[in-house]
Amino acid sequence: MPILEIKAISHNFKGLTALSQIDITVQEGEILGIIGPNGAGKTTLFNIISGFLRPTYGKILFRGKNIVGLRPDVIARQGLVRSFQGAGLFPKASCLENLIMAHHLYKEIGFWKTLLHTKSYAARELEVKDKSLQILETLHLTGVKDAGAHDIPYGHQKMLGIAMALATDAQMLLLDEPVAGMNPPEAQAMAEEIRRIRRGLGKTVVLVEHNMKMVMGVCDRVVVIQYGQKIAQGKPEEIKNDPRVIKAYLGTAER
Amino acid sequence: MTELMQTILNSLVLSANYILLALGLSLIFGILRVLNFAHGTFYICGAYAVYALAKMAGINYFLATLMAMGVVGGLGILIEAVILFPLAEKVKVASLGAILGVSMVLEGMLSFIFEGEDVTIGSYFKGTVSLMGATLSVERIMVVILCGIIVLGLYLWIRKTRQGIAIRALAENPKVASLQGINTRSIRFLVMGIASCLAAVAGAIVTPLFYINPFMGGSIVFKALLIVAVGGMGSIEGSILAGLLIGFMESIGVTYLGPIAEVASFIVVIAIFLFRPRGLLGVEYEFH
Amino acid sequence: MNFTKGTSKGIVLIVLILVLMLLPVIFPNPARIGMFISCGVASILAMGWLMILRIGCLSLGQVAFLAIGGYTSALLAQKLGVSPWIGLLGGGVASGLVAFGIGVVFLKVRGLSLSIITFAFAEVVRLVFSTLGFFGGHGGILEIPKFNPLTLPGWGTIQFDSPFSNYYILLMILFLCGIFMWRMDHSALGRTFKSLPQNEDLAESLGVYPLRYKVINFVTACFFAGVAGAFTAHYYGCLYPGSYSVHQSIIVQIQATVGGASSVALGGLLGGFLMVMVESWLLNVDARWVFIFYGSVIIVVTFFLPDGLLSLPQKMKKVLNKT
Repeated sequence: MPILEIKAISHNFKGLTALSQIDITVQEGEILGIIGPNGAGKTTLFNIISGFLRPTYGKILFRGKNIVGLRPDVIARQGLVRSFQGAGLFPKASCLENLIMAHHLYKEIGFWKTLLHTKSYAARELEVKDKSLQILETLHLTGVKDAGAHDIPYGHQKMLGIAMALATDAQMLLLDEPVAGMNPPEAQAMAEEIRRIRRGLGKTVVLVEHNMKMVMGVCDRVVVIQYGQKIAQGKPEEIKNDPRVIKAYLGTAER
Repeated sequence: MTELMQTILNSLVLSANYILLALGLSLIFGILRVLNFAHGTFYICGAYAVYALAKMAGINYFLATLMAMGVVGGLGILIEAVILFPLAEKVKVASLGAILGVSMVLEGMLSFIFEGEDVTIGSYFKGTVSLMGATLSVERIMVVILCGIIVLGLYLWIRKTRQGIAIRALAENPKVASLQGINTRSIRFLVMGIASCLAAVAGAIVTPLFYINPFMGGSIVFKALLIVAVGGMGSIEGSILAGLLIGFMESIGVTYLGPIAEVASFIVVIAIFLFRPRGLLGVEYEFH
Repeated sequence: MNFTKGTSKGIVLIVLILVLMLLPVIFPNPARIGMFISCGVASILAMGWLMILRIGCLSLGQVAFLAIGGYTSALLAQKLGVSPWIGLLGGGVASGLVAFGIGVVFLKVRGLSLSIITFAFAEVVRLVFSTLGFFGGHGGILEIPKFNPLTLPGWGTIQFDSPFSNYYILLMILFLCGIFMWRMDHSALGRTFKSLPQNEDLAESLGVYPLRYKVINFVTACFFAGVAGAFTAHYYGCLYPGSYSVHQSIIVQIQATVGGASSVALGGLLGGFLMVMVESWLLNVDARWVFIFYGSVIIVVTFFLPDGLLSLPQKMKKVLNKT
């Protein structure tokens, strides 16, 4: 059952073709990896899917509904959420506050109820705080809950970023370079977390990455993009041995 | 014919004024990365300095202008040293607030020293000249010519001299420039000094022609900002063209449309800052 | 720990409210009370300024909304015979509507560009009010009716022709404004506001529509500025477009900054009251000191106390901890 269908997405930008006729189908519950040399257009694709960029041409169906042209917050509300390169956190807030903020879409409460601090509002606030504390505990970050988001180690920041995307209760997550800048044990932990997201929570994950080892180890399928075009797709073993992919990556892959 | 020529001349005078100010503002923003809201007040300080020296102390007008340049230039450098440089690394809202504060302090001090009504020093170059059948004030012609010389001089200096090139390098990429051995600190002083002098000259030019009061600075700096916005920050040619354009439009507008024309310039400012994609000023200031 | 903090905060709040309510009783001199009224108006504007700062905007045009509120209420009273009491609401609504109209367009821009736009807008408003005959031109509007007497059960009829009685009207507005903004700030809404200048893209990806929240924030701040403006129109009985100059907007910024951005309501209150009291004293000494005062204050505060007076206890703690 495809949850996301990217159809013929093309994007031109100031005379350059960033993406050309991208066709990708993501099945519900799978972990899909998107790889490709730098500048291939992967982040552009993410920006387009999540609504931060409007493609020059093409459609994207999320659970059958075209999301091209929708605002990012509307797309998030539909159940498709992305994380950002770097950690994507609120720098001036504490870790706990970051997580609380991430629950924005969780049981949204109206303006007046918020202002008047009605019972339902108060109850939700408490619930959100508890959930956030729980999440912090699973991430082993309870000790630093009040620390500034940028004061914790980078690996933890990235975990927090992922946790925030999870907090939205979205069915599908787009993770932009989730293990970039992490050392091997941290990358391992992240990979395990991503598997857990799919296994335990049933979510679909699409990730962009440069760390080949991680991608091959975690993803069900891999799509390769070069110069804005899809040049290969398939299971990790197939991709690893695909001559076109090897050629594209000559000397640039992290193995 | 006379009316047309006079309107043209008046427009040129206004343009000259604005161009000098816009260039200073542009320079300061490019190097110091601060929008000098006090620039209009520097201008008024220059005007008052000339007034005080020429009218009250009886010093020759040109000498007074040079001295005023020194005074205001020194003021600018002082402010850079004491206020702008120390705040350079902090959140941008800090330098904005401080600059507004400087502007207010200067205005307050001016109102102390020169209490009472608006002043003018009256025409220096008396007389008129006949040009193409129109009677034109010599004063205004001289003003336009002088400004033209100054702007040309500045243009050549920026393009050709070592300091000029250093300034452009620093404006484009401060980190790389300092790695290349360009002394950021001294360039900042230089730029602030020059920009302040330009403001002083503009002020000096204006005192014989118009009345001034200590609180005019605000709307003046806005006009300068408008010109920089239209012409493009950092572009001398742009400032010149925009200055001419705005000067002419304002002159004609006020003559034929009345006070409501002033509103137009503010609306244009709003439009420009709304629709320019990344904000004209390139570096977006975030206020936290 | 939280319990004691909450109670001490509560006590401070109650004392504050009591003091504000008793000020005209403790200092019955009408000129003094007039000053307190100015303090209150300044506080409302400062609170609005701080509220807007939350979404990352440094507004240089707050007085425009003071003007819109004032003119609306004055004209409603003069031309349509509307009661000033209703006019208060009218002024607020008018300001709010204008704020909404420009907000949905302006608030898409950020940073310095936005500040410049607010500055320009304030000047446009001032010029429109001072040139168009409908608004009375440069001379402004005179003979604006005062607040109609109120008959309250048990209190008799209250006239509103003295600073004393008008003070309490302003106090009501001030309390409403303070409580409303305090509530907003310390709620999920306030959280969302604060998230926008930190990482707007992230907020969007978490389901926040930034423009909606910026507009809510902006309209609220301007609504109260409008109500305050309407109040001043009826209290002073006249309006002059010249008093809504950019300098006044900058003074709002200075007052708010001195108060402190950590709490919208308290910072605005503190900044407004303190600064206006000093300003009033200076006006008695020599009016020319005022600009120098405000200018120097913001420079000093920028260097030594950028987070305002409210941050003083924290700063002192730090200093004391070091020694």
